[in-house]
Amino acid sequence: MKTFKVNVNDKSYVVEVEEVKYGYSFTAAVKPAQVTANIKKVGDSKKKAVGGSFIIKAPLPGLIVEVAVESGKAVKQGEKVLVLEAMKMENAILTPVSGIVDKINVRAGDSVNSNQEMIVITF
Amino acid sequence: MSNDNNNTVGLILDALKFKDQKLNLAGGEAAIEKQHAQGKLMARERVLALVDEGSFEEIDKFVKHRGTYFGLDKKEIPYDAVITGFGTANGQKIAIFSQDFTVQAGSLGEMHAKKIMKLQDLALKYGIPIIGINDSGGARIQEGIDALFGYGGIFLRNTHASGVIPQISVISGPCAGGAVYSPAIMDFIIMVDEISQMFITGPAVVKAVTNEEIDKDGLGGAMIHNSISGVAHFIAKSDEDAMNLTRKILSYIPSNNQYKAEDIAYNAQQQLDERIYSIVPTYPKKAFDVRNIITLVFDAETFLEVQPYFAQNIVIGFARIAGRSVGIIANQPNILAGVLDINASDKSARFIRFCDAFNIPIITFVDTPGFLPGVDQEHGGVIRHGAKLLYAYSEASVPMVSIILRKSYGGAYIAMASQHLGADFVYAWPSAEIAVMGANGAANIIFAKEITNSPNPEETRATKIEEYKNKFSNPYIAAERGYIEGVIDPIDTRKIIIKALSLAEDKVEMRPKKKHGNIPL
Repeated sequence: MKTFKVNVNDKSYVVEVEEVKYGYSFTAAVKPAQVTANIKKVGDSKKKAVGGSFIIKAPLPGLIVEVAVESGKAVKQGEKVLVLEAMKMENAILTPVSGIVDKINVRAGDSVNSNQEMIVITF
Repeated sequence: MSNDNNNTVGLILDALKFKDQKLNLAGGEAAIEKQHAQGKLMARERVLALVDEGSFEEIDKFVKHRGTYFGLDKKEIPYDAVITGFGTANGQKIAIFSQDFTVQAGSLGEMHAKKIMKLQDLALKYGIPIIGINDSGGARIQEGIDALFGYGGIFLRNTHASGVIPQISVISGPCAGGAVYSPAIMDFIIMVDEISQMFITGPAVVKAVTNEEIDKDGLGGAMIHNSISGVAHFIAKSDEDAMNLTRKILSYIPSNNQYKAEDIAYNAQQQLDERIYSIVPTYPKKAFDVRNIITLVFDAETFLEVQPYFAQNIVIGFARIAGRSVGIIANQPNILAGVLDINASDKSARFIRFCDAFNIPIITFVDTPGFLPGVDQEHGGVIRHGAKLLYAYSEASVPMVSIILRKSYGGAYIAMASQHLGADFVYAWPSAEIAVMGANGAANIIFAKEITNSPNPEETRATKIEEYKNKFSNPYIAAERGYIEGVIDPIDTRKIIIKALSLAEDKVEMRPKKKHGNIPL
């Protein structure tokens, strides 16, 4: 269970989020208003496609040693997008989809946690 | 014989033929057409695709249900919706049951279950593998708790047969509720892509209870169970593909736990060549695909990967070496650095126990940085899951050969079929690093004082790491202790495995008498 603060029309809501296998169930707990929402996603949590974009997340906690792509450039499925040093290994992270690199959230030298969003690819 | 008698015999035979043909109509033309339109084979077609031509011998074709509630007494349910019998696959005797979805949705009632139970009893008595082809809407609700009696009896027999005869389950349609547990107790599950699903409760119940919206395939389709849940072991493109895969799996395993799988002819000229040197990168932090080593070392085109999409950080599968069937366990540096985690432990431990139960020697390739650290893993019970791997290797009494390719540290060194857990032969390549922990971690602990007191801690740290690496990140200390049998030229790997297996072929392990162990589940 994680707690998030969400601002809607200048009003703050504190929301508790529980991650379940195939979806997120949101239960709002705190004032000023009671909010209940259900947001669903289907499929592999790693391959979370939201409106034609794909988020590459860190599979292991580690250190970014190389970012192999540039923002705005096209990438092909299976291409190396970055190298993550973790568990005594330099792990090549490949993109599972072809598309355009939309966002790069990490730089060489950055430490990342598991599941941290690193690169967004739109397709 | 008189003419009269001939005529009578003729009439009697006609009556038999008529009854038999009526049963062959299965669920009727419309249902058959619907089945085919979905890309599915008929229950009988599946059986015939599985067995050697002309070998199928059906039993209990005339069995009829005894249900009387809800108009069931007026219902014709040919062979009570399941075909049972015997045949051969690659010349090996097998027992088969195949549920017929065109007949009352392949639903399981009392007699349907009794047919399966009888087949299970006979397969166990004869010591032959049993193959179940599942395509059923589930329990026949009209028969009430008689259907539950049926499932229970099947589970009991599945469990009693476990480790005695091989049991393979093919899911060729829906398999929901109680029906899932028979396949789950069996040894291998093959799911046919797009036409099969497995779940305890379907999307409607999931929606009602947890308010999650998901379709059947997203909940329990073939790829979900092959990649995420680890419930299934193989994914087949079609019914035909599933039957071929079943035959292929059967070719590696003996008929029962009293036998060894039969050796087959092999190319005695096959040898490793220089290519073996180019697979493992000299830079120890660089990954590679361990399957490239497997395909070179074992007999050409004999490697059959099991669960290729689940816990890909460990590779398991069957292969042959010098014609002999073996099971392979190999860390996969290409995925998650080849770490051992909860899923990798579960996946490999179960396979080790299968191989051990059926006298299939185990070859292990080691290159792992260790068990995966993290809150998810610890809270998920990596201790009890990882323990399964150690337990399975320690328990195994089949010949075991291990090849340490590169990293082999700490607990993972012990876990990955070390001599200490009972491996017969452990060899290391010169690139192996066998140590209590990685150089960075070890240097930080051993030289903690020197590093902090140094005027230039970073430099001292680097020197000490290098020092530790040179001294301990190699296979020679382990070899000096006799913890490994030797350090070998990689090009000799195939030769050495063949020799080791032939030496340990008739290995006998004495174990204390017990009812059964208590594997940490």
